[in-house]
Amino acid sequence: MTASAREADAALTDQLVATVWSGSRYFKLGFLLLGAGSLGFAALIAYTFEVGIGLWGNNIPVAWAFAIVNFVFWIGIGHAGTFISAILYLLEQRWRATVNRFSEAMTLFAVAQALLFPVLHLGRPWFAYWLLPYPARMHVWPQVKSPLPWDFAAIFTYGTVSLLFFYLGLLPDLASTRDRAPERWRRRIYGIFALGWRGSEDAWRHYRLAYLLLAGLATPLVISVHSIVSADFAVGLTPGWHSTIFPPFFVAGAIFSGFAMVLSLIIPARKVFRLENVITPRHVDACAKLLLVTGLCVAYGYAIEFFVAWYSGDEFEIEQFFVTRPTGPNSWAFYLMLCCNVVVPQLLWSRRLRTNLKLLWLLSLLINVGMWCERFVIVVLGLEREYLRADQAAYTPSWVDLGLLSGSVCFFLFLFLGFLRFLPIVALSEVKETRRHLARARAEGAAAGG
Amino acid sequence: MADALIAEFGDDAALARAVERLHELGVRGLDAHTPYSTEVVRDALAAPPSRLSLAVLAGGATGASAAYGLEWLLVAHLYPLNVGGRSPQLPLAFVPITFEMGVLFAATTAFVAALVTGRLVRLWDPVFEVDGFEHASRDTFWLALELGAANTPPEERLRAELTELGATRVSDLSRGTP
Amino acid sequence: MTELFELHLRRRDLGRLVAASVALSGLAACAERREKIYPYARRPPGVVPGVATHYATSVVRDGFAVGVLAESHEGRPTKIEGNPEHPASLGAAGVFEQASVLDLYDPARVGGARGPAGLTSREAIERDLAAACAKGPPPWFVLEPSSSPSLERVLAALRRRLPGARVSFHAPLANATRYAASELVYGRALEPQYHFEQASVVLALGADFLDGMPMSLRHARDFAGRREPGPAMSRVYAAETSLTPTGTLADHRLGVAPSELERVAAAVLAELATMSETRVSLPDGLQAALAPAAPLPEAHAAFVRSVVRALVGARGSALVVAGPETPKSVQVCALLANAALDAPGRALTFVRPVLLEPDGGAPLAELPDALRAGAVGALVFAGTNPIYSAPELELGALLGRAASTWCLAHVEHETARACGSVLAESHYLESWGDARAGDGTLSFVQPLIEPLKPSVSVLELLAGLASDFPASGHDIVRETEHERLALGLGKPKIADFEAAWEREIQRGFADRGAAPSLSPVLVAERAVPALASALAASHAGSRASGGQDLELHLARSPTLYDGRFSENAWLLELPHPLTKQSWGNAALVSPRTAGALGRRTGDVVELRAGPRRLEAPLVVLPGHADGAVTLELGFGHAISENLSNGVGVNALGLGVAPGAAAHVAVRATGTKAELALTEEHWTLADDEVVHELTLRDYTQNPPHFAQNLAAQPTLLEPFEYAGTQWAMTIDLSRCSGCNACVVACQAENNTPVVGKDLVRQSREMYWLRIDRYLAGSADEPRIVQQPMLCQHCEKAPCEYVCPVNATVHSPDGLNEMVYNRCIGTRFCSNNCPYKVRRFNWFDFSEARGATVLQRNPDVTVRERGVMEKCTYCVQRIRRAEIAARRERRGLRPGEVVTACQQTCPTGAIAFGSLDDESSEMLRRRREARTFAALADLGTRPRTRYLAKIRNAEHEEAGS
Repeated sequence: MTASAREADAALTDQLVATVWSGSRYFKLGFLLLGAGSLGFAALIAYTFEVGIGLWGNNIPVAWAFAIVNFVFWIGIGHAGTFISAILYLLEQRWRATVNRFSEAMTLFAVAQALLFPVLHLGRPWFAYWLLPYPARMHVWPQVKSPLPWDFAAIFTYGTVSLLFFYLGLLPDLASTRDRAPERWRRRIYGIFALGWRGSEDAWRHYRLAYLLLAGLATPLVISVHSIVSADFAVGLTPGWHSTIFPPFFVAGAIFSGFAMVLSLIIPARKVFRLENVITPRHVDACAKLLLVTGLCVAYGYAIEFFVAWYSGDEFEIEQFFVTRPTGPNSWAFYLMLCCNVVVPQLLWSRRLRTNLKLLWLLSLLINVGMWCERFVIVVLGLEREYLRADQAAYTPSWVDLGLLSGSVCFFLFLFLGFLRFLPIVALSEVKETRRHLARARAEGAAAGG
Repeated sequence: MADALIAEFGDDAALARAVERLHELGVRGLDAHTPYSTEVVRDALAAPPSRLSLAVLAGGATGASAAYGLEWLLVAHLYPLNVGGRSPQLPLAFVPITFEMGVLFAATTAFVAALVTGRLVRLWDPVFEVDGFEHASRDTFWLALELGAANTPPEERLRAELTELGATRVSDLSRGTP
Repeated sequence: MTELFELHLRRRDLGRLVAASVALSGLAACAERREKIYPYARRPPGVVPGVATHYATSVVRDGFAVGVLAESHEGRPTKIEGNPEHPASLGAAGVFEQASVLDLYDPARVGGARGPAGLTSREAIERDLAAACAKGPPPWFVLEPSSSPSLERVLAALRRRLPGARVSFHAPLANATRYAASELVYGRALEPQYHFEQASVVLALGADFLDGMPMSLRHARDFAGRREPGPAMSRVYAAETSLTPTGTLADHRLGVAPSELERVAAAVLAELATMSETRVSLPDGLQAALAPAAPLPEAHAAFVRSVVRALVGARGSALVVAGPETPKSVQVCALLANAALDAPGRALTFVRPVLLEPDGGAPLAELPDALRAGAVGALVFAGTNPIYSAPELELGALLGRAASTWCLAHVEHETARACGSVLAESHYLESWGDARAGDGTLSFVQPLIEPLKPSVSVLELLAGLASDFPASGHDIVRETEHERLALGLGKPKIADFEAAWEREIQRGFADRGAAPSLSPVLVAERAVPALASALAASHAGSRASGGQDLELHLARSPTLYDGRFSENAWLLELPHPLTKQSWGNAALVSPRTAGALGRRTGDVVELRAGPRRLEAPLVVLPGHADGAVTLELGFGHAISENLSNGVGVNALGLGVAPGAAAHVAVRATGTKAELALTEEHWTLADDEVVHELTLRDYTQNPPHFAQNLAAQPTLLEPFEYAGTQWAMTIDLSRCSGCNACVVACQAENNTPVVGKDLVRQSREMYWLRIDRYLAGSADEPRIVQQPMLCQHCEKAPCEYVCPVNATVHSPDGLNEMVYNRCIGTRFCSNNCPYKVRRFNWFDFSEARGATVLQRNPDVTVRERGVMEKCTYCVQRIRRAEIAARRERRGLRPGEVVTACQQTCPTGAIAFGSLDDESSEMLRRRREARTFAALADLGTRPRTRYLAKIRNAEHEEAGS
């Protein structure tokens, strides 16, 4: 048993580390395309900086549109990552070990996208630092009654903590990579990033606790971040925004979209890197189940929104939900949202579908689209029809808007591809630990039985 | 002349048995190098629990109080303005940032503390000189033990014991730089 | 981005302009020319840097003067205000007066002189013109209608010098029908004067007396005086084809096609004639003449019955007003009706015609034949653009037949392009002149600045031709005035004259300059047959046309007048008061007519009148008369490099003169036009936002808007406001939606023009806009116009969402916008329920050419990426406070006047401090009809509105 376990460990390590050395030409192609896309993204950002956000489709009353939609969308994506790595860790869901590296990386890169947009959407982005309480000669400070500084703090914290969490989890595997490095220079580089990790029990002792604490901190954090993001809307008095259900509603939506994104990323990766033995259908199935659950939470949120609008009797709320969303300009987004976020997830009740990866993948993509639409509906449709019916206007995105959205997707995938290519994509020390744990449990079970 | 030994074991159980035996022999200053954290080794070495939590708590408290203090100082005290007909001092509005900063500081403390207490952030360590040690991050479990301390058995005895205990190899470990 | 942002002028030119205007600014006040340029180190007399000075002058349009005060900063005219002493203004200024200052700096202005051989000097052109006039067939002058005594003298001399010279006075909207009508009724040409402060019942027959007549500013003020809800409140009946500001404020309104207007007028007169108690003896056979050829539709008949009942009930204080563009028959009916109602001497008086040659001088219609006959020597267009405004004459093709063609033009327009020689015309702020107001008051035009480009005024040009006149306009005007006074008080001593002259110039109009009021006697016998034939003719006309044909109604554009302002960016972008269309005009039809055509707003239709046709986008206008289509003048210019190029369609292109009866065949083209409408939909008046109720409802059970003004429950402790607290009230019963405040605000606060594309994207930058609400049905709409500007909420939702304290509250209750702190999150705009905040999507701060000189130096020009909005004219507040502090006193009541308030003809806007018990603002604020827009949101706006009160007839009360 010992020997076999050891060989298994060895094999697994080699398999999982191997992905770092095996740069197929598909990677080159991928980097090329996504790199180009990212460059386009950068170009559009520069263009917007230079000329002004008049280049976008925004207007008065629709002063917020794509930029904010994208921001909320990306932040939401991130949440599943933290959810998997932190909350499931606390709940000792050991299966998470196989997917948490993916999802943490996803979180990190999604947050990176999310950080771009709030700055870019400013009229004078070069003054973004005025949100910080830097020692200003004029003695004017940030105005902390506004949700935007909260946002700033939340996202910054979220980004940092995600990074620390990701890196801490990565340490032992960086060490493994270092130790398997074929050439000296690679060994050097990974050696540097491994910070001299030696797997010493003395280090493990603190490491475990630190990891646990980070997980413990990340859990309330992930809840708070999207609650605060939702405050950007809930604090305002726009009909359709000014609602107390927003924080939980947003968090559920965020995790929903996040799991969708995890699936959209993992299913192909699993295939490309032949990780079928690590990421088993069981894991995918678990993700799918969570997708279904969170999907139901979101659907409930929609229902309540409409109910409260009707129950409040406020004519503007009622108009927003019962007239503007179904019939107003851009109401296509509303229907797409309902279809992708409420109807489609119901398919997940079927086990056969949950295990049919191709379909599951398509479905996860649909849900991503749906969740983007949800944010679009809240932001844009909310603003298109507000209080004064005399001053309403419809919104149409400009080509720059569309360019920035697709650009950010490219950049995200570019970063993620980088992760797949250069880092161990599965938390192998954890996987090994888990296997050992299970093996021993099985053995004890057998002993008890026999 | 080596001042420490390091032995490689096929799995954690063997290593744990070795630890117990060495403890019986009165050897102290044991440390294990394992590819993943395993409770078997943990229990065998019976190291005291980490006290990281206190540092983290302190960090979090500092962050939170600093944030709230700053908000109060800047917004409510130094430059109070009539904003939306609300009074400058509005604790409710100060809460979110306070919380976020608490988390930020706590998390950063946890990370840094883990690195420091784990004696990490170093490019070289004597154990890297031991041949075959790269397996420590892959599939084998290593036990390092101090020599020369009072009432530790002589080196040869220990080597013999270790091999007997199932160590696949036993090598010297010199603390000094080569 | 549109070409609007391109700087058409090189920096050097700009510098020159600034230097010149600054250096010569000393001139503004005093009389004689000085060619000297001196450094600003030595300050010109009367100029304190940073302190604006005001000079009285007059804006003259189609010969009618409105006295204004022009504000000058270091010699740059920047803003026009009404002249409070001038009877035609009373301190108010209309859209065109407000916007006229921008024309001074228009990049499209004709620069210098252009001869057949190319650029030359002004003197050369004048010399050649003199020569050309002297030889060959007699010259023909086409001038803008004028009332200038100086021009009268000059023309007399000119005729002596050039016998056979012919002079036409041409303007598309000017006509002599009212003179002809009075000829028929009183035997002499008369200028009717309406006194709305005397009138308790008014019938407006196609008369936009609040906005569309020479004395409208005065009318509006007088009228508003009678609109306080209560027993003294006047009642207005309006019958009009399109929807005008007057129709907006009318208590009862009837949409009538032009021919129906005639019949309604006749019916009213007929009813009055049957009334036994008419004291004046109406001519015999009137009944017969008025007998309707066909019975009126019931709606019209009912309208007529109630009108007559009301008029007769108010005999002596009743008034019938016929629009100057209405057919003669209507005006005759109006005169007779007024006579029957004892209006003359009370609400209606007469003065002798104000214009020179009221009949328009040599008829322009004869010009083409004269040209074909080669009977025209020098053909001189001065201040007119007939190739655009009289296309039916086909002058463009015929100009070659004249020995030579000359044009004195302000901007490069169609006629200027076609003429051999072109000379730049001086702006009124650059030249001397005199003119009479609608009531005959002799007013003076005084320059504030040296001509920015070598230019000459019509007066100077003609005086040059007539010779034996001094060269400078100033001297000519001065001479004229000297002669006038000489006739008046015997040869005055020079000293006396100097004193009088100075006083008059300072004040802007002449002592005893008002025209004497006449009391003519009714000699209406000739009127009867004329009426009969006119009515018969129009009836025949209306029957002749059938099928798809619609009656054509050409109207003055409320934003571009007759096209002379077509290069004015402010006016091009200004949304139409009713259709809210910006950057263009349209064919206006009623919802029913549109339904019959099966077309919707935005569809392009082809209008065909005889051989001529044009294509125009359709805009559905509730309340418009059925079976008629209205086209507004002033658009459809075609000078490629001009701003107005291709904006809208030229209504005159159909070859029909305004006021003439005509039918057009309407055919859909199937294409759609991209209209820039700042309000997409006709939104129904919403109780949360506007209130509109009848006088009876208001007096019998006053509303309780006050209750939702009470403080809402809140978790936060309320913020105490003390001391001076600025606030505004806007009386919706006075707001006609005339747009004067919008332009005034634009001029005062340097708000940019963004161009059609951005308006279509809903990015217009107005700090003050007028929201248009529809009460009642789409067929019989009651319009409520609501000026919407920053409400300066005490609990401003925009403030607490700004992350950088860029918008905060001042101790005196202003919602302040700190531009240089703004980073442009636009959260404030999202959170503003009134949507009055504007965002600088691009760098709008770049001005078109010299227009940068118009900017108000007291107001920051906002950079790209910052929010902006109404400030309650904070610059004026602070200026007043500084003055007060310097004089060690408190602010005087009413010392601070906002730009919109100052210019509002009806005085709908009142502004002041809540701690100033004497203020009109506070008095109005305490009326029961005061309400706050969206009060339920608890924003506690400082701007309050007064519900619109309609003095409706009782049967209709509550409708």
